Amino acid sequence: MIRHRESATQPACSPPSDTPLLEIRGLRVDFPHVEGGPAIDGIELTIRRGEIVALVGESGSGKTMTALAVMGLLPPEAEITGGTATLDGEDLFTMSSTRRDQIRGNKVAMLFQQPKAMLDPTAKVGTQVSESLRRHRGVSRRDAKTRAVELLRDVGIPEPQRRASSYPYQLSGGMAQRVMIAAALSADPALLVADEPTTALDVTVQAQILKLLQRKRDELGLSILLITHDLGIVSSMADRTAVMYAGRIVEDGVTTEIFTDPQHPYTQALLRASLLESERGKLFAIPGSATQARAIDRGCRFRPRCDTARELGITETCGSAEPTLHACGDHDHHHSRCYASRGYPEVP
Amino acid sequence: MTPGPVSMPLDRTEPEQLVVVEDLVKHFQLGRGKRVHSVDGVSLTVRRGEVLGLVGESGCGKSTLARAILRAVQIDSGRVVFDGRDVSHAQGKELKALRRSMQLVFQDPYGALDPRMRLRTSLGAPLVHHGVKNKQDRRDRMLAMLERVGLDETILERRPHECSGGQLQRVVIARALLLEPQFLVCDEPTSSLDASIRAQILNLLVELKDELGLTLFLISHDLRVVRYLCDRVAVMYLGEIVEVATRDDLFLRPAHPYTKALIAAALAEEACAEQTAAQLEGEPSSPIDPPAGCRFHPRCPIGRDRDLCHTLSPADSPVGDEHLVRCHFWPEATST
Repeated sequence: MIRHRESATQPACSPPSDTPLLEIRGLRVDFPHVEGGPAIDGIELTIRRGEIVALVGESGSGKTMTALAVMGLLPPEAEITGGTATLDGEDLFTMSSTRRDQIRGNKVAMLFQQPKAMLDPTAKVGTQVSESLRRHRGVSRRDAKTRAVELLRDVGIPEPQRRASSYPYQLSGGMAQRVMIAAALSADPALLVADEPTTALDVTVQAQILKLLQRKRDELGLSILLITHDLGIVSSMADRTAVMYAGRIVEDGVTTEIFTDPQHPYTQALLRASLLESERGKLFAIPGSATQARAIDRGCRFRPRCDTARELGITETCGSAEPTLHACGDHDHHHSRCYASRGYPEVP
Repeated sequence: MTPGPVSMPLDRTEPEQLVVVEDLVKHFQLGRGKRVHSVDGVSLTVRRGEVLGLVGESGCGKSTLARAILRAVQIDSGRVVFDGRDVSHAQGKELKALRRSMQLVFQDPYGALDPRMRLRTSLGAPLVHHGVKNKQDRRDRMLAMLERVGLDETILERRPHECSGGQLQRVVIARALLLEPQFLVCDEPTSSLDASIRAQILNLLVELKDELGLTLFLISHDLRVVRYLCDRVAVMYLGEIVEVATRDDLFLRPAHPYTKALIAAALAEEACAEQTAAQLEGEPSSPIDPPAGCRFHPRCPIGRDRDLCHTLSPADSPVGDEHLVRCHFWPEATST
């Protein structure tokens, strides 16, 4: 039940232009040797130029797999069993591996959660930052060195000259993430895939890194796919937000709308659970866990944890067939996959 | 077990103080004369039945302080008194008994449990170590504790990779509580968990604390968790405690510029406020070579350009009842 949403490419919010940069259609990723249903099950996602789109969800919901599929970095056990992903009109899944190598680091780059683990421990920081330039732009060794220092300065690393000849173990986590950003942006990519870029960092440093990413978006017209489970980051960063649950997108829309008027019970629960109000008393917790949810092949996957379905007495409906991702209201920039959401076509 | 002569109550601990830390110092040698000043002269008390929070950035010495209290690292100088007994110099049987009443919950439950062992073995290990010889007795205790943390007995036959993060964190909590400790140190107990699971674990901690009369020492860099759970909060920066206050005082009337910046950074999204003046520049200085004077001065909006802050390390000043701050210019910080 994958709906094709041509109209999703209409501008829903102000700054980004309306040409789609990345379009994912019906993407499906399976782990053939693992039980429990596909890791990603027919997701649709569009990112326009200069836009920051957040992909939110619990661990195991398929956020990282989506990113890896886009990057062509899926583990060998995983298999893309359906769907397409086009970057600037080029199909990412059918292109040759030579072409893929040309694109990676050049048109699309990635940031990881553990920056220190992702840097080569045996190579100097400067070399790693300018690797893309050497590879894709044919920059000479000497020029690459100069450029590396400039890039490091630009991302706010103090004493860039000296830092360029440091090794990763000499960097703090925040510093390492800045280095990763410098390296990722060195060849001026159009799309940056950032997988939990600040989760491993302190709050004070986290704010600095997020600001840096926003500045880069404004300066370069960069598009960012921001993957995170921290809703606080999403509200301050993303133009649009897609919420994933058990391999499915259950709600997407303009970020402000997702936060002020969430339609899917999972989104509502996630927002409530992440609030942590200051008053003592029992915190709201989503009952159960998402571990087995991907194995549910009939009906809504959130049903076992859903209070809304119980309160409305529609558990049977929810269990019989999965709701479609439908528009909430007249406009087409907010969608939800729930029978109880506003504007559901007809309750069966 | 007969208490040795060392375990006589020391007169300096008042009954409501469960843990007293006095001028604790722990440096790690790096070679070539370099030392990491992880904990540098920390004094702190934990009262019976309270939840004390410890916040600070990574590398500031939070975990080392906790480990020093639990005697998981040997301290250089100072003293830790637990329930009237000196932890830092305890030996043999006395130390074993002390450790039984102080337990630790780790940040990463996957790292805290042996991946090759069934959870039955991991969970039973502390009981075996502390001399519960009867197998049935061990099993009964495990089952009772599992029920308390909201798990059923099927989990005993599983290995860590067959469980979710939330389940494993419950197992780790159950294991810590099996020996019926009075004092539980939780080192970032929820930071590796998803938001929906985090709330479950926090609820569980509150429940267990009330039911079992525990005293909690909660280390976290998530100020929202601290604000929710703690009665009092200590703020640590580069090996020193820079502010201690009750929860409300700390969050509503922070006196140290560092505390203010931390709160601003952590709760900015919530207040929908722009992170303006309060945002900190740079990162903490190196604990290998901490700055002279006030350790926070290179990042401090108030003290960056003042001679006093560059040269003289501030002493603790009382801001109010139960509110101490280590800053020369705290009245200024509070007023801005």
